[in-house]
Amino acid sequence: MNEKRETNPWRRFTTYVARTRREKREWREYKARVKALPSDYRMVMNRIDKFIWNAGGGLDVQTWRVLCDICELFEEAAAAGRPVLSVTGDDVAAFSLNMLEAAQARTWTRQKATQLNSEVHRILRSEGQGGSGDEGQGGDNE
Amino acid sequence: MDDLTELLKGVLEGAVLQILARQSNYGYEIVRALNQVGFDSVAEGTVYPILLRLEKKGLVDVTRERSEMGPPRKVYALNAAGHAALESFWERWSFITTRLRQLKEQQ
Repeated sequence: MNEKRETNPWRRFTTYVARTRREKREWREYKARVKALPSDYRMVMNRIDKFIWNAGGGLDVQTWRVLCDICELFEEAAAAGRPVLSVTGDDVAAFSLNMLEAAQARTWTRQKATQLNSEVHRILRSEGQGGSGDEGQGGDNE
Repeated sequence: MDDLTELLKGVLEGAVLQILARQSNYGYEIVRALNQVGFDSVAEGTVYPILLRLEKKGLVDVTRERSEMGPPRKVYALNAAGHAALESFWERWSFITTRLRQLKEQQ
């Protein structure tokens, strides 16, 4: 995430390849970890996974890291013998979305929200009405 | 007390910071500490997103501690930025309570 921008094209290419391979490996590890969960946990994990990519609007590797975090919580709780719903609460969907939100993961919804804000502000500015003087819930004002 | 959920939303982060200010702790133990203080409806599923947010904001340092049963457990420790955030939380909290009391007394 915090890798600095490489300018040399060849180095950029190789770091890209390395990153892709690393992510692929981590992805396989994640899949294996999910598989190793007790059945209740595995069932919920798989459904959360599907939910986050669809309804949650997950977009990229950050989203997937949230899934890894959830999987880690599940491993810990399962080892301690707690039931899966004691980890997520009854509202599994809310839990999943809260985790996604907490990680500040890029999601489709968030992307659209930022877009809406910056468009409105840009249009108002170009019409010479200036930003909304008060507390502009500034999207990203370039 | 029932139905604190909505009201607690933003406050819980401050409560978690305060718990961690005393000593570093595991996620599950933090939930228990909250329950013991009287927030008994606060569940694990509420606290984990808060811990994740604190982690992403760089207010806590996370280490993994080996445990005899199962995978290593995450330990959360408040760092300098976390202590500053806690202080700021109490300032904002007293701002809110003062204003609310003023509002009530105006009636």
